[in-house]
Amino acid sequence: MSQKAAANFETLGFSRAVEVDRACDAFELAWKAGMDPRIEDFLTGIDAMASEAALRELIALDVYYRRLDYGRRFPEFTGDGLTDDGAAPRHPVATATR
Amino acid sequence: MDSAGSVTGWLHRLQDGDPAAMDRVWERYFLRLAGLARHRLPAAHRRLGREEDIALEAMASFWRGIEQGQFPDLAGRTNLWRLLVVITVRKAGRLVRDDARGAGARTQAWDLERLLDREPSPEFAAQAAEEWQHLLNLLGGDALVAVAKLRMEGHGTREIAARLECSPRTVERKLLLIQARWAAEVEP
Repeated sequence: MSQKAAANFETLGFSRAVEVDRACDAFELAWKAGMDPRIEDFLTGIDAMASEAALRELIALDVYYRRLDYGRRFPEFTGDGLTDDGAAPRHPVATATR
Repeated sequence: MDSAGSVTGWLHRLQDGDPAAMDRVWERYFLRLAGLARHRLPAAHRRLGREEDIALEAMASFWRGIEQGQFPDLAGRTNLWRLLVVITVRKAGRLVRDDARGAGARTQAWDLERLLDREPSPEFAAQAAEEWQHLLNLLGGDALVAVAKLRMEGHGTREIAARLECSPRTVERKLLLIQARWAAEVEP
């Protein structure tokens, strides 16, 4: 029977979750060191069954640190109209009614 | 000793609001929780009966949570014990902070008469302290231990992230790993 790849970190088995967590830690460390890391570089070596979950986690981290970076570079920008995760702009009316 | 099936049975009765099932929770866990609370209180904050107060409050919070349907996932002894440990250690942490603010400890009035007719033993206290240390040792890495300790002291995800200078999602990820690691090992 073939196994199905986990789409989320929450559904990974423990050993794969540890593997993804290490990749995420390394990615975060690179961001904190001011290196503007590429997600692709941190997916290398990740088990295929965990790659989707890893990508999801790395994108979430990437968005988080990019928002911090934008906040530093454009302190006057409030972020209105962006969703909490910064993944996609929303119309202000739609945001206000959430 | 209960079989897993009978434990599952009284967990279901607990979630249905059966007070007799709460008695079973009491019998199995109170002494361990009091010992755990004693271990978690710094020496300067230990006074006679305080660990029992914390365990009582933890039990009361647990019961209120059950009544309000806050704990839908009590599918096994592991989850229940973990939940009780978390509640107890958080309450110990809050008590220490209350002390620092001069507020003092407040014992919940819930069913004290029913709960106070048991005595904790030093053996169980020592066992609970060892269990807590064992839980931390299971985690291995410093980052997981740091997150576990801060979480058990009652800090929220964002507060932990700020303290450890990482993203909130990183804290959530560590918490999931901690949960998975403990779930495989912890037995009441």
